[in-house]
Amino acid sequence: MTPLNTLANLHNPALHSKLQAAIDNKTKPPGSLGRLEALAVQIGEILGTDKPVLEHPQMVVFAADHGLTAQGISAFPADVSWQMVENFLAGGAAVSVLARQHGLALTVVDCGVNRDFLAGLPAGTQRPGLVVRKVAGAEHGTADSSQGVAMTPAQCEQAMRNGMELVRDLPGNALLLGEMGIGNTSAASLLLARLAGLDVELCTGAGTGLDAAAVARKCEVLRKVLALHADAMQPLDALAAFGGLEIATMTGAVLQAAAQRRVIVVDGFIASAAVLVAHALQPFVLQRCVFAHRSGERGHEFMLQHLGVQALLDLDLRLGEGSGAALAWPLLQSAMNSCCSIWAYKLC
Amino acid sequence: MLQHLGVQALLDLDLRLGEGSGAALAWPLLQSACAILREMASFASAGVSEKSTPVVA
Repeated sequence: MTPLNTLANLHNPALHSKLQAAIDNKTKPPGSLGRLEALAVQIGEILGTDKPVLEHPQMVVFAADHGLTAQGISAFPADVSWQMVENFLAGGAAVSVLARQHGLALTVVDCGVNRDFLAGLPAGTQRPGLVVRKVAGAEHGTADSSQGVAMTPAQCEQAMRNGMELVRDLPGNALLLGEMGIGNTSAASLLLARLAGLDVELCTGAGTGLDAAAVARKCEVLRKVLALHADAMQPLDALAAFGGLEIATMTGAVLQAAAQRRVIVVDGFIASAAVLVAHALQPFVLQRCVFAHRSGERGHEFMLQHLGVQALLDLDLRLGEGSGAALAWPLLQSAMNSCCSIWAYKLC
Repeated sequence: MLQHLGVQALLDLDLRLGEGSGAALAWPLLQSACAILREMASFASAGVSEKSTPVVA
């Protein structure tokens, strides 16, 4: 992997004080807007100004398939990955609806879905809202991590580089993370177990809707995968061993967004797993992250605890796609508006 | 009070301002709930496969 420039510590005491003083001067008792006030300060610090404005928010949904689905770890068939990509493009998925509601530009990235979305189209044709960034040798998804590594180190690096390049050219100053990939709660559980040093049982949940017996079987599959890759202790080794391509691409996207001082709105369990890897590489990445919600997927609360962060919403969501990030978006806008536009006492 | 009424609130953001500020902040969630009912595709209309029986090895 190309060495990454070390992310700077954003903390700026002078700016922090200025932002806090501005908020304390608003026509309200100090602190009465609760966590919205801390959110306003954080966004101001990320954007490096006491008059922050969120511009051209970009919802990017990273999609890929997982070889581990061959072990029966999901309640839904793997075909749902590509079917849902088509649903995103047709505007009928939850994240499509929520992105429309909140004026979020929606881009779907094919990081390795087992489908050629451009099949039958003339060469060079683009499909609106779709970006194809398949990794060589992994066009149909990752390999089965219960048999070997999900990605080779070169594939993992290519996926991360794809994510970096993609974000580099996006407009605006806010990136909302979404994802789609049947089997990807398993990859996220494996990354959490390994990078946070937790027992895999704490990290394993129902995903799209397994019953208790199936969760127990999924957990045993994951335990064997962890044992097979016992030497994959470093963040990038673990990422390559467990996958997936969408998580690796998203990890690159997070690192790039952080370097560009974009506000990163983190969705649920899978998006947080990408941040978990990025954080292990660059701890200051967390300063740029707003955690949208605490997922109903078992493991997410432990992931948030491990990262030492608190999420904005707690609505028992467990859909992914970026739905929680989209639902939390108006709170960021409200934090900005209340920070910037409630009359200050001194002006009244 | 919420316990006595046997209800659960949508947001938990340590707000204590009043004025209707919390109600206004929660409003987009009501709009989202309605938009999802109105605008989301069904499994059938989107051609998405439904749940299968997992076969864990």
